[in-house]
Formats: sequence, structure tokens, C-alpha cells
Amino acid sequence: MTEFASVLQRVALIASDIQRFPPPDFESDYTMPLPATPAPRAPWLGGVDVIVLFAALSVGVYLVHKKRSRLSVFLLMVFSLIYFGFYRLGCVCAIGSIQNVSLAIANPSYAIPLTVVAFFLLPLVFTLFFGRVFCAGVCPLGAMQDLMLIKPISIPVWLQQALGLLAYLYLGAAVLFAAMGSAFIICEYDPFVAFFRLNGNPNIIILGVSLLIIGLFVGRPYCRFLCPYGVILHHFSRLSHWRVTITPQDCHQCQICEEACPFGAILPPTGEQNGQHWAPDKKRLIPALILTPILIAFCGWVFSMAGSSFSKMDYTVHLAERIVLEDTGQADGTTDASKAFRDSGQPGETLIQDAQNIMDRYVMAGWILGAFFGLVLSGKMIRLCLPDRRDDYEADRGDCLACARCFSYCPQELKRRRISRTAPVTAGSEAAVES
Amino acid sequence: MNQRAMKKTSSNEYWISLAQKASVVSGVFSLIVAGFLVFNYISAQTGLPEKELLYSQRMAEQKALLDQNPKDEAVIQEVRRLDLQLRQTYFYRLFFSERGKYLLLGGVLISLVSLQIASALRNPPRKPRHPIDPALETQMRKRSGAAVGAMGAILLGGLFVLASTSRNDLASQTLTPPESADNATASEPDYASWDEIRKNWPTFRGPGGLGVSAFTSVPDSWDEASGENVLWKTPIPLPGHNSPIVWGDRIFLTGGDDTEKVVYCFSLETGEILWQDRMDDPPSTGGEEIRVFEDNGWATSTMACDGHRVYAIFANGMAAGYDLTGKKLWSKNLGAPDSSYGYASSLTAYHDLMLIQYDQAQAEDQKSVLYALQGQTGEVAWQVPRPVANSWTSPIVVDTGEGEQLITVSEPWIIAYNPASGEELWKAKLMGTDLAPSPVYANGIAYVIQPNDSVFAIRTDGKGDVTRTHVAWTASGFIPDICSPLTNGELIFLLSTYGTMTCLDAKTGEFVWEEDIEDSFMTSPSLVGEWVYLFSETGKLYRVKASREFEVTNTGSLDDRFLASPAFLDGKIVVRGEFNLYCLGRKQ
Repeated sequence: MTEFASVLQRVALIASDIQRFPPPDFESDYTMPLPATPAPRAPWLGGVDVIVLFAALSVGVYLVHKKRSRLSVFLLMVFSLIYFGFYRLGCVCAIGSIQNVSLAIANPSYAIPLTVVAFFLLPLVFTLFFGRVFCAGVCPLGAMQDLMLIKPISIPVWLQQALGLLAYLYLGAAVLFAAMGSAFIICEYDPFVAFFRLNGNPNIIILGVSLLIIGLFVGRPYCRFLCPYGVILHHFSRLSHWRVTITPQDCHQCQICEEACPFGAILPPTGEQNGQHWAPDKKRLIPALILTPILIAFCGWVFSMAGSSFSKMDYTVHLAERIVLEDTGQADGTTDASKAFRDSGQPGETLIQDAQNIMDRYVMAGWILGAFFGLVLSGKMIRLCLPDRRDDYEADRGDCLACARCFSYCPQELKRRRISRTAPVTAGSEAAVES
Repeated sequence: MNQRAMKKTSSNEYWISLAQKASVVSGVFSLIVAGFLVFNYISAQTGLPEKELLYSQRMAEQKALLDQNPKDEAVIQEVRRLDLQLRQTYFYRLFFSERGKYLLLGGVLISLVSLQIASALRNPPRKPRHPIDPALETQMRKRSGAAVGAMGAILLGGLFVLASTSRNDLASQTLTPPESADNATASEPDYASWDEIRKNWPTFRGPGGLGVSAFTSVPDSWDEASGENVLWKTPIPLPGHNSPIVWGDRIFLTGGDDTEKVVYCFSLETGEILWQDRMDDPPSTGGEEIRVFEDNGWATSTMACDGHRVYAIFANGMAAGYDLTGKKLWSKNLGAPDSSYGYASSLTAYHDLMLIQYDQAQAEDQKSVLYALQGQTGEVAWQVPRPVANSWTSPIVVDTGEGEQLITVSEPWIIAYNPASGEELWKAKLMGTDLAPSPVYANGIAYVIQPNDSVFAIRTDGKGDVTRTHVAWTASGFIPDICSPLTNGELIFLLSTYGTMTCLDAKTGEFVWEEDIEDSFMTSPSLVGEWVYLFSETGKLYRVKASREFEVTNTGSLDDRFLASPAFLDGKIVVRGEFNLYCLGRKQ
């Protein structure tokens, strides 16, 4: 009987969509908890993962910068989706590693696995030198969204800029909660990991499906507007030594690359106005600069006010609140956690004291997170006031995901690589090249 | 377009068409699989398929038959067969679900990849040239700036609303638990007055823990064999060395062994058990098993009563509070006590606080704590760490005239606290190891025993470390090992387990007399009027005159072994033997 129950439990962990066993002997009110993470693996397999990551990044660099082949990048993407996604069940992942690193920095007693460190650093190093090749073909989350992109529509630039704030906020919150030791929200709310594991929280699955449906028309919505690791990669990519270019040859400004890019990462030439390149908008720049410290302070204040709300993510605070609600008659019965706490005989006052200390820390952390958000907000405003000069169509160094789509459509690139397109791609048909 | 290009175009169209068809087929396939999975899921969630239901009903019927005829082999076989069918059905559904997921995944992947291929093979859309206009760039930047600002405002606004509307249930919580509604509205305090305490026997060694009876009307002789002055005798179900406490018409004590720990309430009038409550063992935490010295046992700590509630603690660290009718108000686990012989310190009460001297391990282990638990709830009112090792003494609460003090004795410190707040008042570093005797107090002096070595008289009006400043006198000689001292303010009486009784001058420590009583003693002496009552381990009563001249009488005998100190009441004595609880008094 015991063995059978054990087998049943294991099976149920895998396929939790059917957690009921027919009567007579195995029914209970117990709800099988969903597995939060994949089962532990042998340490050497972690090493294998790092090697595969390194190899995939290296291959990605070759395919993006040397071979410049969209099909090859696509195949690498499919491989990564299968290996890092469905085989490795989305864990360990570079995006989530932000939290481990944050916790390790905030809490020296936390022993961060070397595999996680490698997953955090390798994509950053590669990005610093070669642009976002990780996003192009190695990230399984990006790959899944890329596969879904069937009918891309262009998003207005102003909307892209505005939505881009969300990723900064998500990054700040993820670092905050991880550093406080409260939660790994990137993992908890990962919208795609449930697909990799064929299992997960229904609400998160709904979120993932929603993002995928949006992704049918909007290229990689999670990567562009939510991914916290993408924020870091964006800035590293801006510093990249070998940038992704649409074509090494002269740009004919045919605009096809801009049309071909589903991520809005191709920037048009800035042109000239009154014989000069675009100049800074002093009317907006000066107020933006003056308002920067005020904005930082204001955001800090607002976030600090929300600090106690943030602290509810912390287990201790959550438990203490429950205990208080039960003790004051505002909540009926007990939860598993509150019952376990009461059974332990630990003093409730100590718990409340601990919770209040954590809330105080969250208020302080709210100031820091708010200041960060204010800085980002202000920085974006200032950035939009500063001059930018582009003589040709260029891939945005930060936003370009190095997906290699533009290579396949740029007439100059096709000509350079002696690849023919069989139909004219522009009205002038100058790009109809025959090899 | 030349022939080669046309051929290429034709080839592309072929592949595009193929990819589109593959996408449609795999898409339809995925939809069908998804439909089956959804049906499977819903049927599993909402109810049993008919087949399973049928089997379940049959199973129920067969099981009912089996209950009636447990050895009916045919029914057993039928149950087994049905059970096997049930399981097969169940696992078939799991199998279907598992395989279905992978089929769905595969179908969706093929469909998506096919769509991607078709999309990639198509020509990019034509796009008419539009002039490069710097004005557009300026406009875009202005719009973007406004949009970023608006998004920032929306996010900040959302946070502001979140902060404004979020409940903070902890903000209003103080570190001391709020008084209950009953308590807040009551004009009377939720604990007994000192006058009421004096009329009862609420702690180990009675009011204040001093071993002094408020009544002289107690019997001075008895005999179990003849029944003289033995009002009743009741067997105690479980062993324990704790002493009985009495409040009103109720006697409270505990008993326990390896498997059971029980709190008992006896009737003072009849000796019957009015209520009892079995305390659950603390949940296992995977730590070491709690062990107690055999002579210590599981129920050595004497209970305490504040007039409205009684409190109990066992050697496994489980504590509880009850009202006088036996309603359990709370229980809690203080953690496995790290005590060499087993936890034995008795409880005491101050107002509505239950005070626990929870001394453990060695001083450097920093495990010892003095707890004050709120009587009504068991919540910690205050707690202070104690820089001491494990001990077996019990704390006393005394009124020094300049304030109440909770005096504790442990290795190496004697420490006095404010019993209301836990504030440390004074301390003296005088003590060695293996401490069992509890302190006593009289006339501004606390008397403390270092077993088999010394007795210290410490003035209680000091502050901070008084080791070198407030030790009034020190004496040595026949110092007791287990029994606590007794004082009437003028003299101090010391009793060793082997029967040597010593009398010292309480003010100066000068030797007054020392005599041997040829018996063994584990109970502490008690003062009734001008007589010191001694209950020997063998069941005899010795009365010694509390004077500078030694005078002893032997006027009582019971058929039991006595290790616990008796309770003295108006006209009665309650004493716990190893097996029985006795009530002694003059029969009406």
C-alpha cells in the first residue's frame, strides 16, 4: 500500500492535472503541491550545462557575426529551446541567476552555486564583446517567443520606450526581493517555465499563454518589455566591442531592414535639418536635468511608502500577519504555516518583532528601489533629449537581439553574400540580385 | 526574370505550400489532442466516468460484504479484481495525459516551425520609400518622452494607491500582547490579590515560595494506621516529584512518565479527581531525544496559580495554562531543555504572568532564559537571557518593601529581577555547580545555599553586581544538598538529606545549634507558627521548635514515601506521597 502511494505521488508530481485517485482507499483532501523546481541533478551535470551554454554562445557568435545566417540562428534557437527549455526544464537560467547573485551579495552566508555564477556571467561577457547573441539563439524564453512570432506588427516607438520602463521596475523588484531573502519573483512568475515542465500554476500558465498570444503579433514581448536580464544585456550590448551590423557594405537606405525587424530595433538615419544634424532639445533637456534629483527623491518616497506592502512577500511578515489576524479574530481557523508555528511553541512576539524589523528594512529598501527607478525614468527622459547621429539605417546597439533577420533581407548583404532573391523587394527592384 | 529564377520561385512556392499544409495539419492535430486533454482533465475533476463509478459502487458493496464476512475468499478476490481494474483505469488516464502532453507539444512545435519556414520563404513586403525627415525624429522623441513620463506616472500612481490601500496589520502590534477584552473592561485585575494568595498555597513552598504557612490551625499529629487526622487518601495515577499547590477547594499537581504527561485537579474536600488533561508531547524536530535522570522524572516542576489560572510545565519543555475548571487556555513548547538531570525548576506567578526559570546547558552556551508568559494567552510578555548554567532551583517572588523582586539562583549568578518587566536589579557571582535548594527571604536579606558548602546572606537593596558589596554574611558547616532553607526572620534552619538540622542566626549567621534527626529528608522544611514541620522520606512527621533551643517531636506517620513539599491550609495539610495524595486535618 505504501509503495503504491509513493508511486502515485511521484506520478502525480509529474502529471498534476489529475490529482484524484478513485475511491475507496486513496482519497483525501490533501492537494499535492506543485514542484517549484526541477529535481536536483548530479554536480557534474551542472558543469555540462555550463559547457553547453558556452558552446551555444560561441556558436551564436559565429552564426551572427561570421556566417550571418538567419536559418542557422533559428536552428540554434530551436536547439536551445529543447536543451535549456524542455530538457533542463528552464532551470538554471541566466535570467533567474540575477536573484542568486543579488542574494549572495546581500547575504554572504548564502553559498551561490558556481553553475549559477557561470550562467549569470557568461552571457554578460559574450554580450560585452559580441552583442546580444544570448538573446538571439541561446535563451529558451526568447526562443519560445520567437517561434510564436507569425504576423509581426510594428509597435510605435513611443510605446516601446514607455513599456521599456517595466523591465527596469521588474529588475529592481527582483533584486530587492532576492537581496532581502524574501522571494525569487523571476522564478515564481516565470511565464514560460510551466510550458517547459508541462506543469505549473494555472495563473502563471494563463500569463504565459497570454504573452504567447501577444507574441504572435508583437515580437518577443517578454524580452523587450519585461525581461530583467535583458535590461542588463541592453546596457552591456551598448558597450559591445563587435556590434551587429545590418551589412558591412554601404547602406542604400532601402528601409527593408527596418520593415523586416519585428523588434523595432532598426533605427533610421537622423538626417539633417537646416543643414545640420539633429541638435539637443534644450527646452526639454534643461528641465529634465533640473528635475532629476527631485524625481529621484520623489520616487524614493513613493516606493518607501509601498515598502510595507512589498514586505508582504516575505514569509516571516506574511506569517506574522496571519498570526495577528487569527489572534484578533479577523481570520477564521489556521493555515498550515500558522498551525506549524503555533505548534512549535515559538513566541508570537518574537515573530512580530522580526516581521516589523523586516518591514522597516523594506521601507529603507523602498527608498533605494525608488531612487533607482527615478534615475531610470530621468535617464530615459534625458536620453530622449540628447542628439543622435545616424547616417544610415543601424541596428540599435542596445535593443538589437541579433536575430539575423535583417541580414536575410538587406539587398546589399544578399549581394555581398551572392544570394539571390527571386522577387523584387522594393518598388525600385534594385535589390533583385541574381547570383 | 530568367529561367533559373523562375525555377527557384517555383521551388519556393512548393516549400511554402508544404510548410503551410504541415502547419495546418499539425495545428488541427494539436487542437484535437488539446480537446482530448481538456476533456480528460474536466472529467477527472468533475466526476468519475461511468465505468469507474460503477466499479466504485461495486467496490463499496463488496467492501461492505467483506466487513460482514472478513474471511470470505470470493469477496476478497472480487475486491482485489475491482481494485486492480480501478488502478488500471486510473493509470491509463495518467498515461493518456502524459502522452497527450508530449503529442500536443510536438504538434504545436511542428506547426510553429512550419509557419516560421513559410514566413521565412516568403518575400518581405514591399515598402515604398518615404523621405527621411528630421522632423519625424524630433516628433518621435517628444512623443517618447511624454509616453515615458506618463508610464512613470502611472506606475508611481499605482504604487501610491497600493501603499495607501494596503493594510498593515503589524504596524499596530505592540511587543506586549494586548489585554483581552474581558480584562480591559473588568474593574478587577485578572489575578489574585496578595491577601488571597496568603490564604492559599499557589506555588512551590506556598506564598512567595518561602515555606511559611499563614495558618496555625493545621493538625500536629496523624496516623494512617488508625486513621487519625487523615481526611482522605487518593492514589495518584502517574508519578511525579512536584509538590501540590492549592487554590480554594482545588488541588493541582502533575504526573508523567515516558509516554504520558498529565495535569490533575483534585477536590480538596473529597480527594476525587475533578479534571485532568493529558499534554501532548512536543512535535519531533529531528533533534536528540529528551532524556531525564531517573530520580528526576518528567513531572518535577511544581505548578503555579495566579488565582484565576494554573500553569504547568514538564521536563520535555511543554508548558500550558488552564483556568481553574480545567479549560486549557494555551499550551506551548519551550524547546527541549538541555539539562543534565532533567528540567526541574518550579513555576511561579506574578500578577497574571507565569514565570519560568528556564536554565539550560552551560553559561557559555547562552541557552538559559527567564520567561514571563501572559497567563491568559501564553504569549511572551517579556523574556531575558540569563548568563547561567542549568540548575534545579526555583525562583521566588518577594516584596522587599522597596519593590517586588524575583530572585533566582543558578551557576554562577544569583540574580534578582523586576518581575513585572524582567529588568535586572542586582546580581552576585557566588554559586557553584549542581544547585537544587531554592532561596528564601526575610527582612531585606535573601538566603542562598551552595549545596554541601556554604550559605550566603545577601542584602537585596543593591544594584548591579553586588558580589563584593552586599553579602551580609557567609557560613559553612552542615549545609544541605537538596532541601531548601527556612527562616522565620530571626533564625534560619537548614536540613540535610541525611537528617542533620542546623540553626543559624539570620542576621549574623552565627551558629545556634545543630542536631541529628535520624531519618532522611527530601522535602523542604515548612514553618507553621512556632514549629518547623519536617516530612521525612519514610513518611514520618517531625516538629522542631523554631527557637534557639532544639526541641523535636515525632507525631505523625503515613504509609508512603515523601519527596514533595506539603501545602498548608486553614486546618489542613495536603501532602503528596510517591503513590498517594493525602489530606490531613481534624475530622469534624
